[in-house]
Amino acid sequence: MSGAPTYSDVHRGFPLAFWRAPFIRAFLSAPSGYLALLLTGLLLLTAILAPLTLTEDDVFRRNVRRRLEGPSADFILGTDNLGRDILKRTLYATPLTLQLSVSAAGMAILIGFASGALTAYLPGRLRNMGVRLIEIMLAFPGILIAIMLVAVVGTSAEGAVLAIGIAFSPSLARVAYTLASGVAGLDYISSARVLGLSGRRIVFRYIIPNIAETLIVVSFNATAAALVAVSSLSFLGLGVQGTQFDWGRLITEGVRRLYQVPLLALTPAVAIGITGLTLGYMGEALARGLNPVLWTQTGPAQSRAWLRRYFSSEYLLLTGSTLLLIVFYFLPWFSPDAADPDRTLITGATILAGGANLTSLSIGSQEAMLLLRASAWIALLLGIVSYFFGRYRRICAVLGLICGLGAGSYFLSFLLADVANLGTALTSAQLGFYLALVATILLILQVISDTDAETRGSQDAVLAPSQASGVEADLSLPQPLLQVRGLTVRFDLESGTIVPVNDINVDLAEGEIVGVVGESGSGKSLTALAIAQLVPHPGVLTAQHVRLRGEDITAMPAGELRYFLGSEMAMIFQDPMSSLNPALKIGTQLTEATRVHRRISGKDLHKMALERMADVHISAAETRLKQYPHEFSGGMRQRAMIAMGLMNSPSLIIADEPTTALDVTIQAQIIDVLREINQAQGTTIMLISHDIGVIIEICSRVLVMYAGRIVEDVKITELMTTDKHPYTEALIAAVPAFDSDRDQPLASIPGRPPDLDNLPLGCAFAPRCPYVFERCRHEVPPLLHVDEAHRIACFLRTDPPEDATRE
Amino acid sequence: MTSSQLTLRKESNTGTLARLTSRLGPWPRFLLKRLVSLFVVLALLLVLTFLLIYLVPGDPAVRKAGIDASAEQIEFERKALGLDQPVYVQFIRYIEGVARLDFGTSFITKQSVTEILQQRFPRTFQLAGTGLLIVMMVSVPLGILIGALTREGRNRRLEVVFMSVTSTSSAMPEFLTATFLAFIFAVTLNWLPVGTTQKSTAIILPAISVSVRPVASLARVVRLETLNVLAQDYMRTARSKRLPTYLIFMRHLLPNVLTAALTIGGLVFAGLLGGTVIVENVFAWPGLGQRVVDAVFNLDYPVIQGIVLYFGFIVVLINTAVDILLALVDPRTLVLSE
Repeated sequence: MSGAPTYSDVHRGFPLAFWRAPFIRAFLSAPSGYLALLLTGLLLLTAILAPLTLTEDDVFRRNVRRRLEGPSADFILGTDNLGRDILKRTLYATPLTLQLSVSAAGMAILIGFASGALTAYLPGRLRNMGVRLIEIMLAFPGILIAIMLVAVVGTSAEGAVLAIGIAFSPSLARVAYTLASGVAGLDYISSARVLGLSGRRIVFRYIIPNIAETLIVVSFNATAAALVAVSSLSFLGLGVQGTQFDWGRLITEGVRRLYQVPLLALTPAVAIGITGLTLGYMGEALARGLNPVLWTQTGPAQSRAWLRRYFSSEYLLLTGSTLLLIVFYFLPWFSPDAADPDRTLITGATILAGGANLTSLSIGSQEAMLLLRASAWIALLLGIVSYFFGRYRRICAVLGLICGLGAGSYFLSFLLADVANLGTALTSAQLGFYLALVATILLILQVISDTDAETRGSQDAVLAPSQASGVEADLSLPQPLLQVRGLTVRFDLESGTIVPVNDINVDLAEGEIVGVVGESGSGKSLTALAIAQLVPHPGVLTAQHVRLRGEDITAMPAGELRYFLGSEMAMIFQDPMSSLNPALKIGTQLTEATRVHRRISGKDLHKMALERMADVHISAAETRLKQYPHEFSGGMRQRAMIAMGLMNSPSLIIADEPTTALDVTIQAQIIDVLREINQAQGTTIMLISHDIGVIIEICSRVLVMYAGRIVEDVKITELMTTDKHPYTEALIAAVPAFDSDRDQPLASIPGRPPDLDNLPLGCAFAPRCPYVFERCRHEVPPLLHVDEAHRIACFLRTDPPEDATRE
Repeated sequence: MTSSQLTLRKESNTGTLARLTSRLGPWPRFLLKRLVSLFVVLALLLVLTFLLIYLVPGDPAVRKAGIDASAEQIEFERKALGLDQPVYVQFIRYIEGVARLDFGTSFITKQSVTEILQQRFPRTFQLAGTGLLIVMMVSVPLGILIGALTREGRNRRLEVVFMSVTSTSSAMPEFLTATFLAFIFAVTLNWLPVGTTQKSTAIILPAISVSVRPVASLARVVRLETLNVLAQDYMRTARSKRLPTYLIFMRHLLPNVLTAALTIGGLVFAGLLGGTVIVENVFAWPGLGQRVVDAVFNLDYPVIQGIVLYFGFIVVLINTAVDILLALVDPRTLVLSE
């Protein structure tokens, strides 16, 4: 984004994309999208219909004779202290509550966005003061500010709206400020300023359109917050006054009588909960819909993938049992009250059946209810287990099936014995039975389809390429310090399996410095992590063996491995800045491993630490140990890192690009330190670098890696003389030398580095190789000895074609 | 959010103050700056609460004397309140009063505001303190645990459950939580008492009600920060040293996660304090929150002034304490705040 503002730059955020297909697809790509639409529809319908259909009589007329009643056919959710219908009053309060919340949010948005955008546009010092003021106001609890403001503007519905509008504006101001200052810094705004446009025009033509989409999403969240705040104020008696009432005020009445008529408080509470959820879902779904990144990711198939997901056994168990539990615990609540027999009573079935006036007979016997509840709890438990522990989902589904069938057949017999009631009534027990039946059938279907899917899955696994077997290279060295055979790291991703480290076979002798070189993505760092048994998730390490001092570390128990590697192997990482813990003193980080693994502490440990610091030439070690990493320079941090590795006198140090993040003079120091350590203590070093120059300087041998494989293993002394792998040749040719012709462009390797997702069938280097011939394209060349200490994975060198055809 | 706050502070503290303090060491310089900003905010707070009496519609003297008071009585009250003096004199008197911890007397109950504060604050402190304890004890271990279990995209389903539970409960207003909790544990199960302060278990429900929201939002922040820290290079270094798991978590992870939790600790506490106002009214908990609502309802200015000022003081002090604590835990903050 540079140069003059163009139409597309300025109008990036406009027009909003609501009507576009990708928006709708992304909006509906999760259940919350559908829920948001459904709930919003219901809410709006209630808000419109409630005042039209309910009369003053329904809502306001007192009927003291029937005060504080429970649910009945006359009053579906009971009555309040003046004998008024709770449900009707709650529904009637919907439009006022929504109206107040939306106006309060609107006020907050107006004040907040205006002041935030303005602050972003202010000149330097004023802007800082504005930001500081917003921060200060944010530190105070919003509801307390609102309460104080109510005192100023008066206790009324309008007062509450105004107070919340002001009290909640700072958080919106900060959002607007962040957004606007992000936009204000963009090039086309600067150019608009240079063009001499007025401040007002910059704000309205350039800034607001660009942040509009985010602001819409934020507005929904603000409305949800305003709903809570308005209800809180009304609840406290500081909002809606007189005969008017909103949900918050209904709750105030209800809380006082929570023991007598719980529904008086719970009904409006649930209404607020549902509305809050609706706004939340709507905000979430809108955010998803307006996120252009998701437009390309959610195809039509993916947008409905969740439907299938929710139709799996664990979800069925979970939703089914939850539904049943609600029914079993909720229904008795609406059931005949023994203390008050002359009430007209209905069961919850009436409500669920849409208010039809069915005469209920009984809830079912005590033990029947107990059994039903118990089986529902068990089903819930099974659902939870199969949700979190995928491997138990089959057994859980089967157990849930048995559970459902058992409870179901018990009730079938129960019902058959009581067959006279079948035609006339729907008891909760029956309802439970039907639900259990439906859930069971769905479960059976699911188990069948699961089994299908798993069978298909296992067939896929068989088709996957089998792991290339390692070549048992018999290097006739006595006993190598490190012996790696068939080391492979695999990542099973949704897009497919990639193998960034493929069949590594190598021996490291004691006291050697071996370099590993390759482009980024060649798998050299991951090879190092794999040897150290630190493969990141979700990588899977397989190997015939990795022997360090003759011990196979891939087969070692975790506790033993920790101790063994903790004292035998040390790692040095690329960026000393981020590889040291910023919150801990250097001394602590230096000594902790020794304290744990070798049980040394106190003066001895301190003396050791000082010696190691001296080894890596850090002066004033005594004070340095007490300092934090941020007090060290880059080169000194890396030397501290090396000192840390040396603490336990390891036999192997793996250094992963130890010089890359440092400048050239520091690089040389680090290389010197590593060489000294190798010479003084005989430590084997595996040095990973993409810089072949560094490797030639210090190593005795180099492993060249390409696309996860070792393609060449050669002594440095032979590197310049013998025939090499074409990739190694290219690497060496790409290093600029002092005598390089400065007029010539730097040599580089033609073609792109390999794409692990999409490797060619044969040699991975074939597409870039100047000597490629037919065999290379369909067969992977094995790593073979061309002489005693030189291995190459290239047909050209190990098995040259008779006529050496070149393309 | 962390970084933006840090940069904001960095920007706002350049200028004269920086020149004045440039000769001091990092700690005195840091403390001096905090002290200056503390005073600025307190001064703002004093001015605002003082102005309250002018912003509120109606004549305070009339209000104090009562609706059916004679003109002489009203005039007498006006003198007693000092409203006949010029504004600056009134302001100076107000400051003097605050300095002597004298906030005037309630118009309605004729009780001194200081006395009200002394009586009521312990209850609010008890509630907010217990709430804060719950928040710290639950959200930090929970966030770290879930963070560790869901690192690098492990246990996707646990993540889904955690995210939906926390997002629902962080959007749940305190008075709803309080109502539901009271319904379940007091009305239905009859395990815990409500509407009393006599029993020691009476604080459980109010304290849980105020802490649900902060627990949810803080646990989310802690989890995100845990994921963030776990992905850092220095955690890989710690693993490469083969430290036992408890050391990796307690020594290498915890301090870095706590820094982030502390950064928003001030905001969390402010939210908690706001929550107590509501919850006290649900459970008839006789704290400041209940009293301030009464005062606003009756336009009892001295009480409103006193309580708002008091809450303001606490918020400002806590925020300063958090800043200082942050600098103690994470020495980089000292350097960054310059």
